[in-house]
Amino acid sequence: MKVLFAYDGSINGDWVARYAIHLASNSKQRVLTIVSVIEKEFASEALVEKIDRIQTACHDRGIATDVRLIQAVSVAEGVIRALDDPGGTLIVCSVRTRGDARGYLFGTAAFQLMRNAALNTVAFRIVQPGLLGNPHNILLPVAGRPLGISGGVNLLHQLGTSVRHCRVFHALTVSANRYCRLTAREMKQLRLQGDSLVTAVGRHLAQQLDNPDILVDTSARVSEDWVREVIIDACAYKSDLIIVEAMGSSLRRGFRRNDPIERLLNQTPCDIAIHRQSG
Amino acid sequence: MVDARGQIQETSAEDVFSRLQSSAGGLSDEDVTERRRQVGKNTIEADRAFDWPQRLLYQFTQFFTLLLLVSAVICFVADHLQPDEGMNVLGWALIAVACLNALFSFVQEYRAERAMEELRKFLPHTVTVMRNGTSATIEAVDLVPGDVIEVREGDRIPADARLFECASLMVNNAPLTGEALSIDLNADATDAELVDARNLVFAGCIVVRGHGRAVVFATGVRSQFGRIAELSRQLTRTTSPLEYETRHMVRVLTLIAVTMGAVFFAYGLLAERSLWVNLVFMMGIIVANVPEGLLPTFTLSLAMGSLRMAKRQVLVKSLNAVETLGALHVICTDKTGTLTKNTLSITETVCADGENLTDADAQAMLVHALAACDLAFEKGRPSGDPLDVAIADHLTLQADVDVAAVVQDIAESFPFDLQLRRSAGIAPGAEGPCFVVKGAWEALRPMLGLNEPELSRIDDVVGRLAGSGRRVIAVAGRNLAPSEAAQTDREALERGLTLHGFICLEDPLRDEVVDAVSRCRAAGIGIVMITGDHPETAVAIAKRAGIITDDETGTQSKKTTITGSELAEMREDEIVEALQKGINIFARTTPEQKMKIVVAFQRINNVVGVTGDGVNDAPALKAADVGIAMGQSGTDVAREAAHVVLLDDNFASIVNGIEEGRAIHANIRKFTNYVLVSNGPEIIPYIAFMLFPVPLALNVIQILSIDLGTDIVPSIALGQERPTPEVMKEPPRAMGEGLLTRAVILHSYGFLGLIEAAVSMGLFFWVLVDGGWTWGGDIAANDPLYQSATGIALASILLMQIGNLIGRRSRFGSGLDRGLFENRLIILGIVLQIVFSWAVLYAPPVSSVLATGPVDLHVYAAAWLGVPLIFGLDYTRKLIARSWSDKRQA
Repeated sequence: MKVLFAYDGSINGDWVARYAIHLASNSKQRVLTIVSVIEKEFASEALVEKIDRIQTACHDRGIATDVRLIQAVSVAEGVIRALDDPGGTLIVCSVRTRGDARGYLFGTAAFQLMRNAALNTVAFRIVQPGLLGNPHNILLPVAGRPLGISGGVNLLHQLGTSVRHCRVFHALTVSANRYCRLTAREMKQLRLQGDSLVTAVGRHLAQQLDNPDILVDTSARVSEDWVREVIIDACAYKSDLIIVEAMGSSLRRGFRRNDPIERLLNQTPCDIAIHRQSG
Repeated sequence: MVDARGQIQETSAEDVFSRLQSSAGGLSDEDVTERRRQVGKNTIEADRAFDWPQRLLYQFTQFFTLLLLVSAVICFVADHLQPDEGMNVLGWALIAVACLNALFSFVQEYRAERAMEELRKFLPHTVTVMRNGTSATIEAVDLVPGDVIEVREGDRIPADARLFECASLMVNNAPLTGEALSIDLNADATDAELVDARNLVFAGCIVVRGHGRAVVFATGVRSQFGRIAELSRQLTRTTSPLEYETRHMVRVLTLIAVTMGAVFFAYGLLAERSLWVNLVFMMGIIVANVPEGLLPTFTLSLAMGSLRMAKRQVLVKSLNAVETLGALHVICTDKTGTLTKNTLSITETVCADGENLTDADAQAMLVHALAACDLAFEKGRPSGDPLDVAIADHLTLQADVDVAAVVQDIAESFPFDLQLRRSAGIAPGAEGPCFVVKGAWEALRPMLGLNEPELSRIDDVVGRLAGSGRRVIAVAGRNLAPSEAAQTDREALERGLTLHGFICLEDPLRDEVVDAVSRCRAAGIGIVMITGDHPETAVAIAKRAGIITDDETGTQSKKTTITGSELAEMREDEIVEALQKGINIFARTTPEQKMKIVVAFQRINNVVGVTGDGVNDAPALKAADVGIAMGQSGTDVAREAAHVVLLDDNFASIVNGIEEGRAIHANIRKFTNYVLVSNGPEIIPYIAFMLFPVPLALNVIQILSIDLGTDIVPSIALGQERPTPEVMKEPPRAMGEGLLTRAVILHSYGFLGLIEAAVSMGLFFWVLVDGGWTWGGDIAANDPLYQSATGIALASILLMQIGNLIGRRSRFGSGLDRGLFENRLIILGIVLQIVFSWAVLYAPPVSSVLATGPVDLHVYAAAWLGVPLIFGLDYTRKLIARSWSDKRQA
């Protein structure tokens, strides 16, 4: 999949650029399209200088670049105009650097792009700039559908050699009311149910990755709060990057502060990528 | 940013600037302004300040609080419609309870914010930075990624940064890693993981020696330190078992109350009763069903339990943790300082063949060892590495050596290096300067001029010494030739050494630990030891403490222990499997690995308690069901993140806490059962009133006088019952075993509640009929006959609650067998019930408020018969239940 990077010239954009370069380096085309939406006819010197640096980094790794400075009403619109092959392009963008009252994702260009079901979009929040876009340990929380991880698998493929360990995690969520009344036997049954599901997803992922160097581990947990479990797991297993699929329902109604994805973005102990696959 | 092929520590020093878009001369002012605008200040402050009015208001939106507030509003409406009923008093009482509950939750949340204050203390105020090509001192909060900083001895590091230049730089990462020993740093690229890299400095850590220059790559919440801070703040606590149980109980009782209220309201409307009458009866049904006093009593019982725990050196920060301690299945404990005294002392000095050294030789070796010490002296007392302090103390006490003078003569010192696992130094000797190395045997082994068979023999000696749980330190050295005296190249000096001998040190087990561990075993609580020590030392200590027995260690020693490096490679399934197989020692682990163990235990539904003292323990302390911080040796951050603080750092105190926790849970069950019993005689009059043409035997105020009045002291008394010996002989209670079980409901409503209802209704109708009332006849609320009848109904319930109270003290015993005077509050509760039952009938100030009246003394005497009746019937039920239980067990 080709990689298109929506760049805003910020330091956060520079951090995300490292992921974009990494993803482009493992794509078939080895091309990184850099799209910057500008207000005036000409881009500022600082922006041009920064884009030059990204290009240099790409050239050092044998990646071709295609820079497009587009005048548009919004970043999302500019990005969509720059797309030649929407279904075959992965759009890389960032969420807000700091989560204000609006949250990290809600209302951003990334959010608008994700709502478009015809696009493949991934938005990063960088919490560990020192990783320089080279995560070793990936945490892949899944909702339970093996096919639902295909977007995550594509991302993993494109992250390529830096990945050493991938942990598939499933939190089997029950209501707080039910959780408090679960007997040990019921809990065990639910856990077994979660285990069998996550094992199937893990097997499917290992087949898809087809890379013996990547250790695929699985874990299931019964919980009343899956976000908390994901965060604890990321801490316990020192994950470098959490890859989460954005849920269509959240995208349709718009994220709010207590939305699970917003909570994850807010509380994550490591870098996080929220993605949505086309279709 | 030039390359994206490696992480920051893998980048060469030359490439660091281009990667971080900086230069040796630092950033320009424009860059700094732009970056600060985007990234924010270098502080671990939350994005949003703690909005206390909002958080306080939020507490009033909780289910139980809302229920109380709605009830209060109904009371005020009722009071407005019918002012004489005194419903406003009830309204205010309910508001007071709601406020107390909300305020308590708010205080707990507010305290969590304090942890952030404590964390900020780890960051420096100012920092030396290169800006626009010149050096300047700025406020640390103004740092941005790409800034070039300079760090020197004594500095606290303000942000995560990549070194590109350093000279003899040594830092102490204890605030981050918990590791007390300092490490040497350099500017070379490394393929180690980011947190283990030796070319990075991390925010919050301290420069012990040397100086260096580095480029900042992460500030504020993006630094490693900031991430821990954010995590310990953001991570929500697990809901405690008690919270689940109370939440469930409140919901069930509320559902019953509201459903019954609604049904009778509808029935009343169909029966064409007035709206006001219907409203009052709906209120009555709801009030009768909801045990208003129960939750405040819960809080009070937990608060008093926490006071008792504090007396036993366990400071409880969250009230629910009082009870959660009692539900623990597993305790994951540190070794040093918790199981042991954390005071190293020399127990033996041994030569290479395993024989003890003579006193003179031992003294000579220890004086030699001082050359490789890193000691400071405050008011004549040595301080520093506990091992060095132990040597100094031994020499001072046993041989009267002037340690300070010996240390002063050290010509060159090479402090302990964690990676090399040794320290070294040059000191004057009898035959000129002498080079001495002190450290782990494995570290010194290659430097000795011995052949392999000789080394193997010494390996056996070391194995024997370490196997007994002692720490074994080798001391070796050589006299330096005059040409070598000024030599500072450590590698050149560390060759051809002669082994002087071994120092055996021991951190003795705390006196109370063996007994505490055996109590845990009897109580079915697992103990897992997590330590940074050598596996053999860990096993030896575990054996002495009774955590593992000889059977477990004898032939299968490997199966009881997992090392940190093994743990790092294990998948969660494997960890869970290992735990289920009984692995209970984790040696050579880092504090961060605790969380992995906690998570694995929680996965198999264990309620886990974990101890910790460092900043990096904070996430594990918060993720565990009970986080236990060390009061004496712990950091403020760990204390703030924990649910429980051990004031004496002693493992035995945890076990005392568990005993109290279990007793409190048993007591909560007792008073819940006690309180629910009175609901029976409170509900039946309303049902009778709605279904039959009879007067109402109890009004709402009379019900509240029981629920929020006379039942409170006996409930508190039951909450203060001391732990029985059996409490630590039973396994932890099963998950999902709630407070409001079917058995409790059946016993409360269907057995004792019915008995109380039958007696009180019987007396009610006796007085009415005796006074001339006939079936179906109307009687006014202010009729003295009616007031006498309701008075005796209320008085009889109060008296029968005495029998109920005594019976609740023991599951199978009479309750009297526990000694009435053991718990003075029980006596107070009984006296209160008696006095109030009399006052209801015969004291005008009380009877006028409750709208009751006097009865003949023989009727009051008959009400007293209810006490032995309920007590006797309940005791008979217990005897039958015990015989069934015995049969089942047999």
